[in-house]
Amino acid sequence: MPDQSLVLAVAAAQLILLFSIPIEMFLVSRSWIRGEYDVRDTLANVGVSIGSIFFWGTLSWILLGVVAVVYKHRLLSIPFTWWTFLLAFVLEDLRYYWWHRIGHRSRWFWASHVVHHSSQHFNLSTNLRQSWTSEFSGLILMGVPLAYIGFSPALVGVAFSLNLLYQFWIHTEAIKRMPAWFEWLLNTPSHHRVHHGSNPRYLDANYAGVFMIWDRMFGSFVAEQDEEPARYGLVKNLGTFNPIRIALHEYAGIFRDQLRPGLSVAQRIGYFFGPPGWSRDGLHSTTAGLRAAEAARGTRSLPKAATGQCSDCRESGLRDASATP
Amino acid sequence: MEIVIAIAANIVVGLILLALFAWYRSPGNARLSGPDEALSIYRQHFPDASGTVTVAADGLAALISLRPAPGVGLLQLHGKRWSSRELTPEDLRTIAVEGDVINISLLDFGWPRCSVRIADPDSRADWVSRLNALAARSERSKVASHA
Repeated sequence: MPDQSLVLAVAAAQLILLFSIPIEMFLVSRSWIRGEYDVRDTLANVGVSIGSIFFWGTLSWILLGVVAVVYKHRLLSIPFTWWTFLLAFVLEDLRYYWWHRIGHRSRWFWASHVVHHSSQHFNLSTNLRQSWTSEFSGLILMGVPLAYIGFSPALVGVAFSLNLLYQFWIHTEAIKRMPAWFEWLLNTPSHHRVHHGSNPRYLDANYAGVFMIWDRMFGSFVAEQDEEPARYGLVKNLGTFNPIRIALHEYAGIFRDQLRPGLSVAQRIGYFFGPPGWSRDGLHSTTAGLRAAEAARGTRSLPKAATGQCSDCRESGLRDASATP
Repeated sequence: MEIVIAIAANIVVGLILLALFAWYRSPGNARLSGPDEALSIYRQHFPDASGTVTVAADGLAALISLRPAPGVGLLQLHGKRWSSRELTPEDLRTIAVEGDVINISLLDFGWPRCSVRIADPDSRADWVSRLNALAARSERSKVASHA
């Protein structure tokens, strides 16, 4: 079992990071660092965060219960040592990669994760905009394999928390680039700006939590380009700061689409589990459709990574990530 | 107990942020300078869009009569950013006019309503008519015009 002090240290770190948000906002307001805050957007983030904590706190027993049951039937009994912890951390990050990737590629799971991408701003407070429905989506079952292998739920929990803690600092425009070796190995603000971009070339890219190697291995890595700053938010951006609408809007969209008259079973499944933006009329706004349209337009070339062929994606400096009108 | 602490911490951070916002003030909202800028912003999300643009009198929104395929584009300031939609008949719930403002209620949980202030009465009436015509193409949408 992990030492209780480690669990407390993680919890304390979470609180410290939370209070770094007003610090970044202060520095941005003085133009000492790069970034932008919008009062309504940030307060919406706080509102969404409160709901997320409430639902996670009251419903996480579902996940914990499932993991505990599976752990009882584990294959191995893995002790808590520094190397098993490192192994758990790496495997947990791999789990996060696939959880995240599925969360972007299928609308039912996207309906939960879209909340985090719904802000048109990108700053530390964006961390707070988290799903209210992660316990319902079914993706929590991805927490099961590590417990089945034999990593204790507490060990996995600490690895999961540290993974999320790492991702806090990458939600910022203040940091342009880290050293090259760091950018190659680990997730950084530059990589994560791409992940939050709604530009066709940046959609569905850079799913990594901590180690960028997963994206490089599985063909989803896209480097930030100087000539194309990330346009944060969604393909169809929201017109509300209401936390309830932010948290549930995609579910409402699914429900609305299911009510369309004359749908076949395949079309209903398409609206439910198809890629976000899928449409029966063929006028898709899916990532593939948007990239194809952009390629046909011929205004700019798409990165090789967009087709999973990235072997020489160019790293480049950030020119202007702000899309302020 | 942990949940209460976490929620309390969020509220405290929210209050600190609110105080900082109040102290330093956010820069004023953007305004559309004209049809060209409106179309340019709209094209960030709909790159092939072209049409005739009516910019709201307050510069906070624009309606676009799309061509060559008939349709209506909507652009509205959302905080410091712009949100846009290519409206379909199924998007429209009600269209109402109050003074020189067209209030559009949308069947979109993530964008329930928007207002477009059009000072010119002829242009306003034209847009109400156009939006009603669009809504009439939907079987489900029952548009109530209070123009």
